[in-house]
Amino acid sequence: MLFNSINFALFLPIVFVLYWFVTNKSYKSQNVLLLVSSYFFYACWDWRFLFLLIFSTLLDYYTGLKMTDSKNKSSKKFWFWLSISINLGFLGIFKYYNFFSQSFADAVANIGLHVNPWTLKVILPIGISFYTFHGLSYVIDIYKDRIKAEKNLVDYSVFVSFFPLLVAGPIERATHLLPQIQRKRTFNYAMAVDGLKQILWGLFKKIVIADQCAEYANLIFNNSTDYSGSTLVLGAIFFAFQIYGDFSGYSDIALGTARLFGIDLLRNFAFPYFSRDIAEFWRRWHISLSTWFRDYLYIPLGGSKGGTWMKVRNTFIIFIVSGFWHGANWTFIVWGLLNAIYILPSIIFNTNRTNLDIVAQSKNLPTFKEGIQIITTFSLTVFAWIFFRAENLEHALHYVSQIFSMSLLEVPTILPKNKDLLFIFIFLLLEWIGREQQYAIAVLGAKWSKIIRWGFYYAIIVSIFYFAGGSEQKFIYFQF
Amino acid sequence: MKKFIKYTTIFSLPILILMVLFEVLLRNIPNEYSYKSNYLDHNSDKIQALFLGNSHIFYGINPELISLNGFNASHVAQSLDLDYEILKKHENNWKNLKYIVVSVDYMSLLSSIQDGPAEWRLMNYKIYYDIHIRNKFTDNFEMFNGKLAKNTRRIFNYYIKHQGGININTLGWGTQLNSSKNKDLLKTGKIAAARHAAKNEITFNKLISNLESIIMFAKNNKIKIILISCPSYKTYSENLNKKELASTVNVVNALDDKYSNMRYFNLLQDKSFDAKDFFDADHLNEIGAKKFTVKIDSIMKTMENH
Repeated sequence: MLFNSINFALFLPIVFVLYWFVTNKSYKSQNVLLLVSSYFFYACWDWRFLFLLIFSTLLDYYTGLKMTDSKNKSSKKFWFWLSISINLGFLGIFKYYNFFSQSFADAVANIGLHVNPWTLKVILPIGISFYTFHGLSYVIDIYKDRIKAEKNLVDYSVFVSFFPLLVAGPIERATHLLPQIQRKRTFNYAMAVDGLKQILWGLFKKIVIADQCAEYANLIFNNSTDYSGSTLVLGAIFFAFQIYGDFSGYSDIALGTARLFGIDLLRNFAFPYFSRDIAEFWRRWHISLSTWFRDYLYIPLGGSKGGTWMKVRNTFIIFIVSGFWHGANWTFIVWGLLNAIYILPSIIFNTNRTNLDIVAQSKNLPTFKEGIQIITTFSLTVFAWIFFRAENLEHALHYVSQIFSMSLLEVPTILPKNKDLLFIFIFLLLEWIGREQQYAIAVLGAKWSKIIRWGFYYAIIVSIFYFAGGSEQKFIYFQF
Repeated sequence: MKKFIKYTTIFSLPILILMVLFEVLLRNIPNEYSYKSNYLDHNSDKIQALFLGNSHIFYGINPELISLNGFNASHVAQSLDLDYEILKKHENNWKNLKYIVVSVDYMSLLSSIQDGPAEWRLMNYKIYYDIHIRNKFTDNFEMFNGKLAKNTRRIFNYYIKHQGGININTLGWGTQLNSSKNKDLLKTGKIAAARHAAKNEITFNKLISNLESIIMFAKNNKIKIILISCPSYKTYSENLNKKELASTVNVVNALDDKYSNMRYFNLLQDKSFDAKDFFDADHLNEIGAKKFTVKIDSIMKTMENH
């Protein structure tokens, strides 16, 4: 079930009404409802993989209890590694097995040996990377004595499977989400209205921005050999807007939906394209994954404590692993590597925490210097996105070489329609105005009269309907 | 909570009213599906030659040029599962039916309408034919199956400018592909071949079963069946995956050997069609359609005499 589908538009109000009117007597029955709804939500995609999700949940629940009950360190270690290896084993089989098998065959072919790779014809279970990381953070936190194991199976299952975050995050932490699941939720008018506004903005980002930009990006990337360098640059820019609108739109809908149920999820995006350097970009893009890697990989590897060399090594490790997390393709690894290279100077010269504030805070416009910094950071990001979007490395390298040719100076053969440009402009303007908030329209119109404010929301709804229709477009991050 | 429910309802009400109005207005615009369904409801007992299949037949066969009483019940992206459902829907009314002509093209066994970008068209079969081959809520609504801009244009054109939404003649032939607007055959050939390439194993077996059901239906009702691989320009046929094409042709040839009531004609690379007959690399224009229809008519006449 997609967030941008009619099915979800029916599903959500039904669960909402049941949650606040039927099961509202106790949070326990609300949790049971959330769990059943979440499993239904997931089964709508493919019910067979529901068993994998349940197995993964039971595994982490059980090993968590065993770790807490362990009398000695070796027993605790055993249960910890059992959970880690099975979780990563599933991820490896479903997501990476074919990649490794094929890469091995390619590697030995280079030394003259021919091996037929034994590949598996399996569908990637939707959300596996997300719920596996949920589970991993939980068992690591127990192992490190940061939390105690959850005894209530329903509560723990809701933590893993809560439908707004189940298939594409944000990747939650037990310390943040579990306490909210374990206590009584009371309906909060302001929170619910805020949730609806965030859902509306998420739908706008997905349907009006991402899906429209996708048409240009797909056309250009799928036929890149036919186009000039200047057109390919446009294609990469369109993809940058597509992936941002798509993924941050999904996160906004997820966060907004959770708020309707009185639950706050971790923020995932904070206007990343207004970043002044790459370090800032990574503090604002897919925040729940970046912080996950920081807490569960970067810091255990030694973090910043061991001097510059260790910082550089650890940074490269997390960016490469992060690229690999996105998919079993060399393109993602190169994308991660590129970002590591981008961030390298700021690590060496210790400037990676220069831009911790919000750009042009309390001002209308950035300074000239900030403007240049934003454009430079955005350009670097767009360049890296080429590798992320390309079918394979050969495609990416050809795309890049075509950009850096004389055809870069030609007029692009594909130019966006005026209405599409207008909506991108409006989108960027609203994002800029709202950059100090949780999401662009969080407080926009708070002081306007109700008629104007509602008129503004109706305008957003009309624009969504204007661009929606036909088949619902899937979210990019569902494939990860 | 009361305040939330109250304001949410007040806010949503105008949207819901507009949506209902929009749906009603859209449904009252005549379209090709409602016309064909209505025609079959009232005339299926008079039809002697029924043409089923995808856009290749829809734009390729003009029943007005057939010596028998014919009707073109095909449509864009109409796959074999839908062809069979249309046949079944009127199973007791085909009193005079002598021939069923079905297109079996490169993609006919590779993918169903459900698998491709034309899946939104299934709402037309649900709403106007009452045929549902899948259970999807949005198939019950016109407004959820097209962009607001397109649907608004349809409403404006019909109710304000009084322009109809039907681009077929009275016997179901699609009239939109005019030779004065022919497209680039080189470009469209490559694109169409790539578009038609996606294959799904499960669908492949299911569509063979649908095709066999159509043949069996015809056999049980003493109707002759003609399977046709429709003419295409070389830029399309030469860009097709040879292996997939061979697998489709082999299946149809095997059926040809198995069933005595059916004949298969592969016109995919028929030399009698040249560039001027094609609107794009895989669709005939009105000139090509005339040639193709006459050819099919002569095939039926030959079969009639044997």
